[in-house]
Amino acid sequence: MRQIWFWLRWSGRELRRRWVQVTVIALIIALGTGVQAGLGSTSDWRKRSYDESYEALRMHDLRVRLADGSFVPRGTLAGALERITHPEWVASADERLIVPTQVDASTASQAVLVPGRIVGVEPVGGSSAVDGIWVTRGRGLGRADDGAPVAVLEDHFADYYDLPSTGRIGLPGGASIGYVGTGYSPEYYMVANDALGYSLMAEANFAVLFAPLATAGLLSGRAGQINDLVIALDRGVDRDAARSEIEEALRAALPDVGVSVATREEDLVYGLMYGDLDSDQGTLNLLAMLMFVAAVFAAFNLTSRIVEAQRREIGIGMALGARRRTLALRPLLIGAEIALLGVLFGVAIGWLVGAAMKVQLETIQPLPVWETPFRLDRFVGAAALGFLLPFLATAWPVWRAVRVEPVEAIRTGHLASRGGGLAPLLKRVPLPGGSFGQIPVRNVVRAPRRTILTAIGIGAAIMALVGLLGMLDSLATTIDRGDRELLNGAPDRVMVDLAGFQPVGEGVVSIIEGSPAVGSAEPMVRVGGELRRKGVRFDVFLEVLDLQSPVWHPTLGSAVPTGDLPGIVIAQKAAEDLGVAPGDTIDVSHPVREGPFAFATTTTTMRVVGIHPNPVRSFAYLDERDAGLMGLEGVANAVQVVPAAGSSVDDVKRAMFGFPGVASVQPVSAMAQVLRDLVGSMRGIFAVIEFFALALALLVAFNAASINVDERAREHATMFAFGMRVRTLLRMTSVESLIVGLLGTLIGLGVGVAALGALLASATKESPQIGMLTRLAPATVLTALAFGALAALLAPLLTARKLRRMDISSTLRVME
Amino acid sequence: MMFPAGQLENPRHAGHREGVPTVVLLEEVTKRYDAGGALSVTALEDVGLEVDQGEFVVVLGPSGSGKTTLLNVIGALDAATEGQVTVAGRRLAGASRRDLFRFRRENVSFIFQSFNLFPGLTALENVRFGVDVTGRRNGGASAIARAVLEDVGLGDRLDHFPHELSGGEQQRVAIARALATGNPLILADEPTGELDFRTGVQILGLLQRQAEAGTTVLVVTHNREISRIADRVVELSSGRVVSDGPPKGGKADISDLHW
Repeated sequence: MRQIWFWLRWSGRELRRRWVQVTVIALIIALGTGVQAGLGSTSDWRKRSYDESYEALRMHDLRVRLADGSFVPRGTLAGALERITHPEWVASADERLIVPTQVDASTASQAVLVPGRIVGVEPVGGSSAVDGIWVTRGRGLGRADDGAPVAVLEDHFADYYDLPSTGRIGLPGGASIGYVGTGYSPEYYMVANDALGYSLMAEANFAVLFAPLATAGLLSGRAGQINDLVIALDRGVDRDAARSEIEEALRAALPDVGVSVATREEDLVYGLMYGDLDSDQGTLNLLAMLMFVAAVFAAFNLTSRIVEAQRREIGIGMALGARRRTLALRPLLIGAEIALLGVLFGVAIGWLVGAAMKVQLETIQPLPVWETPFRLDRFVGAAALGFLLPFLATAWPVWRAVRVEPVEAIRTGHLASRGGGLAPLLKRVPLPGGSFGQIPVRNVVRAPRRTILTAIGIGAAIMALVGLLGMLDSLATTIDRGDRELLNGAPDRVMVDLAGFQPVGEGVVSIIEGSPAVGSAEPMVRVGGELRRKGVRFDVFLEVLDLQSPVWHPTLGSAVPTGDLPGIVIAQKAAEDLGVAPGDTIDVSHPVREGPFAFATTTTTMRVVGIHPNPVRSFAYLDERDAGLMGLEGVANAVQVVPAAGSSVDDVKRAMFGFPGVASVQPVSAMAQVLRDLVGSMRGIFAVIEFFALALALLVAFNAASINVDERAREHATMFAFGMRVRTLLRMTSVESLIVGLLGTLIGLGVGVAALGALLASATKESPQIGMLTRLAPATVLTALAFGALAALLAPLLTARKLRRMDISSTLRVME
Repeated sequence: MMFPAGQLENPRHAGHREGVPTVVLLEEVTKRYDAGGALSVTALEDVGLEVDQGEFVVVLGPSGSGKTTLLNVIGALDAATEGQVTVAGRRLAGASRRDLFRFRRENVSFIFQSFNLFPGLTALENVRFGVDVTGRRNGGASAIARAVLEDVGLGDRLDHFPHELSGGEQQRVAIARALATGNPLILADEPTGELDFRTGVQILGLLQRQAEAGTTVLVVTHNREISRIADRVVELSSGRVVSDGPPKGGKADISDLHW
């Protein structure tokens, strides 16, 4: 026991002597393990936060909906619940009136005219409501608001258009309603397009007004009526059993009304939320792994250098007859203690990452509850490696040290001098600055292994940065490419979605075409479909239009004749995923009309006649002559419009607002804007990782510089003995550090490009519908160079104090 | 605060030559090191010393006698605790660290027992360092370095790195580096300590020739044999000067040395 204590004390002294370097290495390990634990916990945090958020607002367990167009008197649905076999199963139930509408939320600077929905709710507020409303700004609804013309505006929509916390919303027919706050209920934690089953862009294109039930009735002309019921069941109740009883009771109460009962899992947004849980996790895991590798590698290099400095002591010990394994104990203990310290610091860093990520996640995805607790289980795995690898870093030099002959290890002065590494290769290379100019470069090359390891340490951090920034560049380029294609020749193109299929050449289509705000218009059909080939299948939006339309048509690239089959134009990504080229055939599943309102699904073999450059594979185009395949000749459910000369997109929106038969009016550019906003919202998360990557690069550079100062103390003391100025030496060490830093940055850039490829592959796997374009912008390369240079230049300056305080005479004293 | 150079009056050693400037003057110099708490170590006690320009002085003493501390105090690497140190007419007491750096640049050059060459520089570049540090950054720096190296007999080893040179060659490069500065005072701490006899004699010969050419040379050693070729021998024991005068038995020729 005494011996163990002896070794611990001795190793502790070494740690104390080098406390700055030890702390920095520990921080490096901590960055790697902490970031790994933090970023790796994101999907866990999301699940936990989703669970808590749904619990906080008492999301319904069951929802009763009447068929479209059906309404019953208030109290009917709640009354039916009392007649089920087990009424005690129902903890709470709220009737609602949900009606479609159109919303005019225009401001002075923008026309905001979108389809929407009025959700009439019991204005009780508080925690007893089922599907309560989480108020983000302003106030919620109270009993006193029942029947009053007030509402709460859905928050995602308000946030997207930067609307104030209170205001007025225009409704069709000249009506309007004031909103007293913004917020959302659990069904709107994400805004989804019910028809197409996705959430992208939906918040820009759909507004929800939560109004008191009586108010909703007045606005919709359905006073005293309801068409929806949300139910919260008691804990432990069998949901399916409850559903059966409720269905039976409703069939009995409303035999002539279509009624459906759905569970919360069948809610579109609920499904999207949890289905989306692991999205981005793969990419974040990869980023975390890059940081982890960088940190552990850097710690490996730096720890081994500290241990190498003890070779002479080990040699002295061997010369005195001590056993090798006994001599190995102290440096191994030092390595273990540094690694352990790193793991302990990692807990703090992991907590910090969690806190920083919480802020970002709250911004990207507002929820009532966000929890980002430190996940010990995630941390343990990273910590084990974070401990093991630096510990192994000490084992290697210790093994080397105990294998050297004692007499070699204890040589001092010129007898201990080693070779010049690669310095002899440069002796004929003239550099400005005389001997001062030569010293930094020679220092870099005379210990090539050490230089490379330090450069790689810095490079690893830069690699993570390049991967990250490269992802943003690639995303931006991909969005731009899609934008260019969608707006090609028609930057103000507007898509008018119709309520159902309308005959071309009459009715609402004619009204649109004849509107003074419309310059040119092209009716088209937009339906969902699926492309298939050899086991590969994925959903697409099929747009049937004139492929030579003067309004807009997809860029066909090298088009081929269709031959005897219908032709289809697909995206490059779609072609790659299906393994086809123009001229090949694929199977296309699409709707076919069997009656006025009845559709079936069928599959048609089509020939790929062209590849369009939009990176989103979801877009596929058929010529209007093939509309007959779907039984949709002569009809349209969308009209693409170009504003008339002198008219703007907003003018078109205003002109269409309130048209019966018009479901929505959106500029095509809005899609790209939503994607840009999404990327922009992710910048916060990326900024967190950027910060840690820069910190890592700086720590590696600093520690390398600090260890250099220790290892070259004698050389520096000699320079000072000759009267060299401290600032001159600092300049030289800065140049040396800059060379290594730039070398590391170049390594980081090179490997970063490979890392970028891996990140994009991961992102593509998570979002297969997007064909990501790989791009590393010049600004990114410059940023990486600047980061590497900055870290390298700052690091030696942080050793200035040590140099200025050097005891020159003690340092020069000869060791006997 | 350092005062301008000038010829000092009041010579204090018997061998002082009239009209020859005093380069080093120590007056009642004491150097104490605090070892923590009440402990303190007195490395030099009440040392007085005067060295003229061009003298070859050997400071002799066993290990722990304070001879290296004496060298460090003269070379402004350490500050005296008490007393006055004047070198090349400059008083060192109270000088700032910056001033001391400048003082060394302009007045003192060191030669170390373990040479302390810069391993990444060739012999020529190591010597050129001596020129560069004084601020003579012109096309003549390399020429000066080359000339000095040839003077010390290493004209054919200019491009060799220290690890490619023998111990004697390395020490000659170190001497050349010191000479290249052109400073009036050379302080050599056990310059032959890591060398064999024959090489050591060669080194001493070089130093002696510098003294004869007008450079003041102070050599610290524990080897009594070396003191036989000195102009003056200052013997230290336990931090005190126990004797200061010509070598016993008179100054010997370098060829008579044996150890």
